[in-house]
Amino acid sequence: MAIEFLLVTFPEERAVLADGTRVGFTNHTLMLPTGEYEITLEGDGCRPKSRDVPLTGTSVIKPLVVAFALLSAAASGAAARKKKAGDA
Amino acid sequence: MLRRAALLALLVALAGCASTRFENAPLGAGQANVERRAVDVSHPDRPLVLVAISGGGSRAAALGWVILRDLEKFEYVSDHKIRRLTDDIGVVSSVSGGSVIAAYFALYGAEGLKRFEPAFLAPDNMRTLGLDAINPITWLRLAFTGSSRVDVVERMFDRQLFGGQTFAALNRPGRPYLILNATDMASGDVFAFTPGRFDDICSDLEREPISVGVAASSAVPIVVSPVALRDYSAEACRGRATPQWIRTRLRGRYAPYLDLEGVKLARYANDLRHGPDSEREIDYLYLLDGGLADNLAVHGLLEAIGSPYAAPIVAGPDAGAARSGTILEAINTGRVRKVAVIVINARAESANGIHQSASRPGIVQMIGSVTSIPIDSNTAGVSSQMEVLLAQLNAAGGGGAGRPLFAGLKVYPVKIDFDQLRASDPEQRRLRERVKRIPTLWTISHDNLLALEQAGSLLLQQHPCFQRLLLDLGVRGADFVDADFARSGCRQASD
Repeated sequence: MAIEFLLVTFPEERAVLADGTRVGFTNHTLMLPTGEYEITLEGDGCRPKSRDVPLTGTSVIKPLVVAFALLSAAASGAAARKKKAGDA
Repeated sequence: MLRRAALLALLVALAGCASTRFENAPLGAGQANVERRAVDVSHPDRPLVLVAISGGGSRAAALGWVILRDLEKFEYVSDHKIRRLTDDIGVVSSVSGGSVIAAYFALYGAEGLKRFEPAFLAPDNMRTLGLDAINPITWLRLAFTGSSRVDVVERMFDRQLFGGQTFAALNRPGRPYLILNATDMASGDVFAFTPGRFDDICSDLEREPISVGVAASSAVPIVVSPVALRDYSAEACRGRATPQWIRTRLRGRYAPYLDLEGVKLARYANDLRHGPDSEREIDYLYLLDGGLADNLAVHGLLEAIGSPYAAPIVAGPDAGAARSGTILEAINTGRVRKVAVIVINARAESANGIHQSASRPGIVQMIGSVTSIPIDSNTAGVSSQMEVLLAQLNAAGGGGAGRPLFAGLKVYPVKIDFDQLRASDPEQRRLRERVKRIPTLWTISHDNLLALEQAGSLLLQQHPCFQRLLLDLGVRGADFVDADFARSGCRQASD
């Protein structure tokens, strides 16, 4: 089992999930075994919703960097309204 | 006399007629096995201690007992309170003989260790097993109730150690996470008696007697029969969702190239769950000694430390919060700052004398080699993986880019092995030769037990990483600690 290093960047501190399991926080390098993961962030309002990441060939001084962005306030409001309409 | 012998022979003949008795119960509709254990990591100065205990009959049970008993003696102060190292044991993984003491410790804690010797190490268990095996009631059970030879061993464990208690007694806050490892006879995969694995087969672990788990972990092939379990997934858990980690591994484009072992684990779990696109429909499981797949039981520790899909056994950061997380998450978020991994290897060497004989070895000797060489090879492979993982964790503790919260992590790999007794010291050499000749049975003589006590304590105290752990915790009264030896032999990247 080899260890790799992943840095997920996001404007806010959020929990990072690998295949639905919490593994650490954004903006701090994390350790994960070599492999392929679906990376998501806890909570709403991020873009993209998830990233498929093949994690290999990293080191503690050169982690793999994966970026998420904030959905704009207008876009996140529209998304929330759309979801509410869908639920109703 | 003749009539009695004929009756016995008839019963033996009928023994094959009774159907197999399966030793597990299904989960109720919509139920899952709940994890109630929660390792407290609220004090970063405390180490998280993980223990693996190998196979080797009563020799392994005794060595594990000596090491645990010694760990209990070392105290340090944390948050103005005295703590013992046994208080910090969060995970215990075991196979075969090691599973006897592992389960006993998980159930009764450090306070129970003083009862283990009179309960299990002192009695002549082989005699007990022999008497039970020739008891006519045993023959009747074999003939008519689907019972098998392994039940004799299960009954011994229950009578002497576990008193009929089930895994429900283990699954409580404050108890360490116990991983009893057996081997799936059909595939050679490790099958652990854990809530997650029992979810895979849709079976209620809390109703499972502890003695069944220990017996499965120590079911020596041919000598005893395998423990039989039913996989209830198809009938009692139909249509449940497949965990994401399984889906990613089975469908991921890169997974087979980056993590083939992970793909195989996912495939096995999916097959057990009768998941979509399963390759085998597993309805029955026949479990043998866990040492066939991994005689050091480090496979369980590897998953517990390094896998994001390990059992969530670390208590959440907020007092009273229901959520708990994995050890990996706790390391990544800086809540675990010291990890001590103690691997207890009770492997012996039987004196077969092949290398000094001009006569070609016979069938019995070949069988011995054919079974022991692959076991040793499998074990060596998994052991190397553990060494690599711990070395990488240690190196990561030195810090790096991206403000890692795991910077400052300290790792203490403590591998206990009879070959560490110093060949340069005549007394230790004699002790090594003595303990390596202790046979693999369920009985250990008083003199052999004394030799193991001496060897176990020496091995622990002489280990530089154990000395380093004591040094870093400020343990008092450990006069054998040599600070230079400890710092040089157990260098930390975070130093």
